[in-house]
Amino acid sequence: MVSELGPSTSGVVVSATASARPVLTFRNFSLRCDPSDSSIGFKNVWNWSFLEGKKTAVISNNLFLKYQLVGALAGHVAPISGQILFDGVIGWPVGGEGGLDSKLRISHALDFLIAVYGDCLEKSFVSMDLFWDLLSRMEIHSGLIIRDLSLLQKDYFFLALSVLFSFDFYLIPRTKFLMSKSAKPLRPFLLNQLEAKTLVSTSVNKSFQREFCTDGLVLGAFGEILFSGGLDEAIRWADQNLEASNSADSDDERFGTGLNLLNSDSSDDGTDDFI
Amino acid sequence: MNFIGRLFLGIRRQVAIVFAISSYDIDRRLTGSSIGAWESIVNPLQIMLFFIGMRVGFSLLRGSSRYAAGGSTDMYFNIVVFIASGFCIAFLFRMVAIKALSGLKLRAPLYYPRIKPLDILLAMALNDFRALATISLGILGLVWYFTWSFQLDSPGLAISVYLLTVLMALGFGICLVFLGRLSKWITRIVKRVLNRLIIFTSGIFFATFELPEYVRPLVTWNPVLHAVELFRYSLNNQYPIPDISLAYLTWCSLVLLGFSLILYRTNESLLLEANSE
Repeated sequence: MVSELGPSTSGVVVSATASARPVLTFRNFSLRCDPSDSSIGFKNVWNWSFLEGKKTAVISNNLFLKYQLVGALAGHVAPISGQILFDGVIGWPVGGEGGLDSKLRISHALDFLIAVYGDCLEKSFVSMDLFWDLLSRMEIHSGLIIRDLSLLQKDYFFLALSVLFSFDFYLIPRTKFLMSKSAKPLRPFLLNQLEAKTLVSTSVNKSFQREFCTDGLVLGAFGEILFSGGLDEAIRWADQNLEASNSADSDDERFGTGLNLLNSDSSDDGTDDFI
Repeated sequence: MNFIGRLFLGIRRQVAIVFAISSYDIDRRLTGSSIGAWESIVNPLQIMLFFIGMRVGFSLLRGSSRYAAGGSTDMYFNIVVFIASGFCIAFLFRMVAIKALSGLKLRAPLYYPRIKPLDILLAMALNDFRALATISLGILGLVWYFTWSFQLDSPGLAISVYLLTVLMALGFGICLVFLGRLSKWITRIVKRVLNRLIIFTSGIFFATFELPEYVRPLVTWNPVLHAVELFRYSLNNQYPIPDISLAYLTWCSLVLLGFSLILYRTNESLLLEANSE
């Protein structure tokens, strides 16, 4: 699943053990591991890659580390050191509700995302007609304003947006709604989009892991790679060797990605004090 | 695909992203305000009308023609054109800079990995540019229609000055966006000082040639004054512009933009962190 690289010597990414293309490479990479101390990072910096087509469930007892990892991959969190090299398009966290202002209409939101990620629609399995059809099942139409949607409609709409585009690298931090009954119409399309694509998930939902992931990566509290291999072996290894953790998907919500990225509506043109 | 092709595609995508964020901001205002997208035009327009009213009021008090700019500027401009030409340049700079000083107000789009803080700053500057350009063209058009005296002697210079002001405002704004992360009080003081400097030294109300020679150095350090005066000169080539230089404006714009891009490149991650507010 991961190919170890030597310490950074050049910008060229070399897959040492597999023929698959590295989609994402860590170079001398280290993240914060402790929410109360910004100086505590990885014991050993990361120099390895996620290979194309691998779907990895990241297993760790350190919830903050999982949040930091997803945040760093999504570009919301700066690492303590090192960098991430991407070869392809990385999507935003699947089903993530950040990014779109609640005052936007559905059509505005879609126009915006199409302008930004239009190239990811060309290879998508989901056509625009199908997308609108999927939305209409939840009575969501283009003229609605996002803030007027019910909670269920919102979750469905944001998940549908993630399903619409085809990325090279998917991030799935939370699966509470994805694995719910309401999201059932969208799951097959997401599975289709994920075909031959790379996925990293920090969800602890076992049924999600079995349905969507093929590999497991067990991380220690300070970023140590304790185990890397098939999903079942990784889960078994984690069950036997990691301290028992009662973490559920809802626990991850303490560290939502991109929570600080909110629009402000306060006066911003200085008219309040121009004299 | 070769390097040039990838570069071209990358630039095209980045331009599309900036325009998309610009529309995003307009669209969210559209549903969030009673006057919708007109808000971005109405706010600066009411300040400009207030300035024009003030200047006309002073002219009336002095007993001069109510359509003239007052003082020796009467010889070159109608009062509305005089104030509007100063306003559209100085306030373009002010709006971009002051907004940046308040930090990135539009942060949500940063959720998408393809969008960077610079794209948002560019999009906000684009919206200000559009609003003030619309107001300027509207007012100049109205004045020309009612006075039937169209005059634009150097359109090339007018466009160049406008673009140089946009570049300078952008460069200054990027520098200020980092300053805006400091204490709220420092930000507030800087904002007030900047507002007064821009309003009173940028030549919105006065012409440089009207000032005594020994007073001019007190205001000619301000590159916005050079932009304002050069813009007026481009409308009427008879308008005297002593101590005003296009080279100075160009240098200030390019140096500020270059410095700000270096600052941005080395500190981009700071802009992704939580708002200090």
